[in-house]
Amino acid sequence: MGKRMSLYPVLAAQNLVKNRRFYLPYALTIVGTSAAFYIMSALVFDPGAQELRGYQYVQSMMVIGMVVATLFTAGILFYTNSFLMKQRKKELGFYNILGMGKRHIAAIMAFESLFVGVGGVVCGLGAGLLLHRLVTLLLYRMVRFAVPFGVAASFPAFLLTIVIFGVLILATLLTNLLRVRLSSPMELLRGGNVGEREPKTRGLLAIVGIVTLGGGYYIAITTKDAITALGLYFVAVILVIIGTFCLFTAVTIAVLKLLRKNKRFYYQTGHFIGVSGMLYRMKRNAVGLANICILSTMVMVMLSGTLSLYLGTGEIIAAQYPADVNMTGQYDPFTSDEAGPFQPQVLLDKSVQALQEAGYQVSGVTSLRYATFAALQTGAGDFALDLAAEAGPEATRRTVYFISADAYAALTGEAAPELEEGEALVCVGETLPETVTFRDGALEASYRVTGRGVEVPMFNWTPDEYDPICLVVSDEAAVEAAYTLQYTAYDVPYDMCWRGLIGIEGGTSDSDIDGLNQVFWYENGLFDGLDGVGYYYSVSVDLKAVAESDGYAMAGGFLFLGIFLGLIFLMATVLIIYYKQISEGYEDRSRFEIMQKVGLTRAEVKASIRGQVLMVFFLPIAVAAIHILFDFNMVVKLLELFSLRNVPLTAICTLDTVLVFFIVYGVVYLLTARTYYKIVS
Amino acid sequence: MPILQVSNLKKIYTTRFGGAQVQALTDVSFTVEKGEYVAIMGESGSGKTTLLNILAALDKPTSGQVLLGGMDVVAIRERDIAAFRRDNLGFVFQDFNLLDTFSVRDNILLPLVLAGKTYREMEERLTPLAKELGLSELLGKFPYEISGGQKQRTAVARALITNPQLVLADEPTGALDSKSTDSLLRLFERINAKGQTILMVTHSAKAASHAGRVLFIQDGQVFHQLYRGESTDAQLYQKISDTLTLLAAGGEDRG
Repeated sequence: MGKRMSLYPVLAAQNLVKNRRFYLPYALTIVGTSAAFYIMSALVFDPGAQELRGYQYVQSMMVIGMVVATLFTAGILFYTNSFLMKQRKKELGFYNILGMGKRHIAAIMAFESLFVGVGGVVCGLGAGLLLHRLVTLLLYRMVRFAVPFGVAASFPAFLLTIVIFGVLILATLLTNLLRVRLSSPMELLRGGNVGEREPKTRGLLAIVGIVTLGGGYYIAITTKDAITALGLYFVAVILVIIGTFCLFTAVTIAVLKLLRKNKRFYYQTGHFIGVSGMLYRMKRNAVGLANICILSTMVMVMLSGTLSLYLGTGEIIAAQYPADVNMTGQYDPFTSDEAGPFQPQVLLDKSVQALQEAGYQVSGVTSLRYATFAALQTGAGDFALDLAAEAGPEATRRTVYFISADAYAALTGEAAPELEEGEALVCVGETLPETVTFRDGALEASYRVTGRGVEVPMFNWTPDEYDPICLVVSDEAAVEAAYTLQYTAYDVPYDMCWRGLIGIEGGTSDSDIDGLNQVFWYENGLFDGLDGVGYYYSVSVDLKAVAESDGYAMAGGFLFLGIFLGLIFLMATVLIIYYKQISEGYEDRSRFEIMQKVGLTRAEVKASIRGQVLMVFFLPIAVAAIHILFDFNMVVKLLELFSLRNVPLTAICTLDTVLVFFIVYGVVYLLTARTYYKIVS
Repeated sequence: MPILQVSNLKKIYTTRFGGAQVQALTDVSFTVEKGEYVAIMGESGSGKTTLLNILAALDKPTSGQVLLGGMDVVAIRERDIAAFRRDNLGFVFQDFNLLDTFSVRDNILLPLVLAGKTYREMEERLTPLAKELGLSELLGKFPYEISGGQKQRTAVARALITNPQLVLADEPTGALDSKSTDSLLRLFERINAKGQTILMVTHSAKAASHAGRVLFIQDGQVFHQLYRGESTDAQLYQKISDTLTLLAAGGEDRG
């Protein structure tokens, strides 16, 4: 009895070695995903990092990453497992015929799973431990955290990895056992050799595919603003995913069948073998290829989006926070409050004084004010100050700023433009027609547009999602006139804004945050019992150091997550490609022989098959590239939510990502193609 | 002039590590005249498959010569072999070797498509041939949808559609039931009667008894041959059986 019991592990080990062509990549996948999972959970559980500023961003992103990685790992493991079982059906049937009961086969399979699973997870945890420090360094560099001295192994992460992967591997084993239980030995023996039926044209599915894909693309290219983009993004994504599956499963087959119907085209040497070969290849591989396509698209979207966000962070912060200390006040210049109207200059002077008393060297001070309101653009130069009325389909909501010529000069360093009363210069937004009119019922204000000024970044981002327009007007009185106009229309008594920008010698960083907050906000700070500055609605002080710390924590976290998930997705893509190459190789081997016997030269057969295989493997990323092309507009709009409005930057990041991905994919293809050629020849 | 002339064919296989040598063909010579129907018989391991592979230019002999229509098959350059095979030979295999991704029609047309013929010419050749072989109704079907006999007839049609000088058949009845076997053998007789030269390798006495001449191969040599002459299929079958018995008994009758 003891002897018999020890037979199973030996047989299981032999099987694994014999089938290493299939099992090695499977085991490597377990190693890779469990290492990734361990690292991610170790980052979540890192007790030392809890005190770091902005770590909660990173932490919540890692949690998202863990969930995605888990679901995804489950997907890959089940996929590869079903592939392995299909390949091994014959072998298992053989055991059955030789007199092994299904229970014995189950025992062998259990040992196989045990070996692969335990081996994979142990190696994965080892790799995870080794790479944890490296990955932490990379992450901290990206999010601009101070790099810690030591990175300790995380016990909870260890445990979580073992539990999750244990459950996943057990689940795959159970499905395998169920599969064996449900099939007869003859079925197992025949395995892959069941006569393959010709793929049917599924017209309905093809039409659904074209409609959903078209719908997804339509949404993507017609989306005009960020909020709509956010709302519709997942709709578009789901439509495109459905469309992609239909495209690969039904549309390709419908097209190939149409080609076959055209006798003149079809009965030519190249087309004849190509079209009929592709028909079956597409049938066998449609789902796998659609998966590759969707995964590739996701990787590219994730990487290009997070990369442009990361690279654009500096610019976003520079626009929102031009100086180290940025004060913003909202007030009513015509207030009837007994404290009198707000005195920005007094507040600014006090602030500078307080900073200097705290030991900061102030290097430059700018003070300016502007009027701002929302308006509905009903024509090129027509704006209505009534957001509800006349909201035709053409009307778009805009945020309008008015600054004086002097403020413009101070912000840009240009000479103050010579503007008469009633004249305006556009400095942010599209080129406007010669006359611009703001209307509220009978009340209206018109400006003669004299030209275009230099871009003022401070007004080229908006805290809300509406495209900004900034007009430079003759003087402060004209700015006040604009304020009065919006006051009359909206009755908002505080949309006159003031900004005080204070530079600090040598700049500021993370370590200055506490000190600066002390100057303004804490007990005995400037705002503790502030008076003598008049009545204001609100004043805020924004520190560039805070924005940078938070901004990089978020963008760096996103990029890190993008790269990390991108790598996992890439691993899955590689695995699918590899298994596809193997199964294609076995399918093609007999075909290869027959064609040679019937009178095709070796070279011809090889060329034809290479052509088909290339088509099969490059179709998914060609389609993925088209997806990216349509998705670009959507990504640009979504990035506006993060105040990134640099379209060229996003374009370059996308292009580079696609390029790098194509190169990586090509290399993967070439490496796996060797397995294919080894099998067919 | 004979259509096929095989002289002093010899084939020695050397095992991969250069150790043992196996002599598959010792010295084979025979000729086939145009319009003949020749069966080659022999036990497994007698060298008949090696012979067929050499005739089909799938393998090279160690020495000797094969002339097909006056052309030296052995001397054909590697890159011309496929075209030579396509234009001069038709193949019928034991396991049919149909491509399951093609319909019956496309399987039959395959050699013509490879030869770059126009679709009109393909149709002109296919229609009468399919009618003769009883395949007209099956053209749109796929190999997995038809019976073994129908598959073999499809393979025969594929072999005949190029009007080859010689049809080579390798155990064509090996995978067929007796009814399909009879019908295939009658088909071979019919196409032979129309002037098609056929060379069939088989170890079935019944299949061989339909041929005009039977060659026996043993230990890599032509051991004996029988001519049909005036005999009926049944008489020839009897003669073949006698010869096989003799061969099995030890073959003292050599020479």
